[in-house]
Amino acid sequence: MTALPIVGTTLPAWSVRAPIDAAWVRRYAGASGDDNPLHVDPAVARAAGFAGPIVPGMMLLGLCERAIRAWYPDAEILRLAGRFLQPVVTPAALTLTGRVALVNAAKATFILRVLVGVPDAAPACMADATLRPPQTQA
Amino acid sequence: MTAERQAGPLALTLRADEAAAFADALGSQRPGWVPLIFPARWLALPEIRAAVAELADLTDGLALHETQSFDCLVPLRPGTTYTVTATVRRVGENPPRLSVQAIAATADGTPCVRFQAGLRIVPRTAPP
Repeated sequence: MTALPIVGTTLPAWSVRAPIDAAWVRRYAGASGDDNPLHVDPAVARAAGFAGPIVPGMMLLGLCERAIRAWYPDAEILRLAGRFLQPVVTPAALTLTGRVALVNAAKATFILRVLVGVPDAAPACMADATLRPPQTQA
Repeated sequence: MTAERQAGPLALTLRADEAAAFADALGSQRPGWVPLIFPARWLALPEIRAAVAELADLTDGLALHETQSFDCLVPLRPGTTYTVTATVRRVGENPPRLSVQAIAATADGTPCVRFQAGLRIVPRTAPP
């Protein structure tokens, strides 16, 4: 038997422990191999029309995964799909919110919608995660 | 000419130190955790970058992520060798857009993670 959440359940906001700054993005770039200069070179980012280096979208999706693990530590993440809606210029303080969008009782899965928020701006990323909670004793 | 390029199959061993560095770069110190999004690292492989560069002019442009998905069929494990195969397609113009579809499978062909990136090519110099 699987305990599924109720559609509409809202998770407590999950804040990234520190603002994402240039040093953190460089660390991510090193670990991921993503050395796109839009993320690490202020001159290139400004020439391309951004106010400064932007946080890699994949990093935002990785933070979504961390938030999901915090909210549902024992659930399997079957799918994680993100759309990057707005560039996030460093440094940035991010808060992630989650809401149960859909429950599929037949498959014992649910979809959690995660929004990555920046203060005073539209969401930067919207991700949908398909989760399967652990089996519980009947 | 079809606007499509293949990369791989590429044999890659997922090293524990790589996974730990990746998790750390996401701010996590959870021991042994391999993030579902770890294959993002494989999208940066020279062979996949070369396929992207063949389909988009990166002399005057830069690739910007618009979408990304990961489907986990079997969790990735450190110490395992995976075969990564990617297909890059040009899927749009004005602005140019590319799709990268990739799969990581074990040596016996068991698919583990499917991942897809949607990229938009932005000019290196924004119009005034």
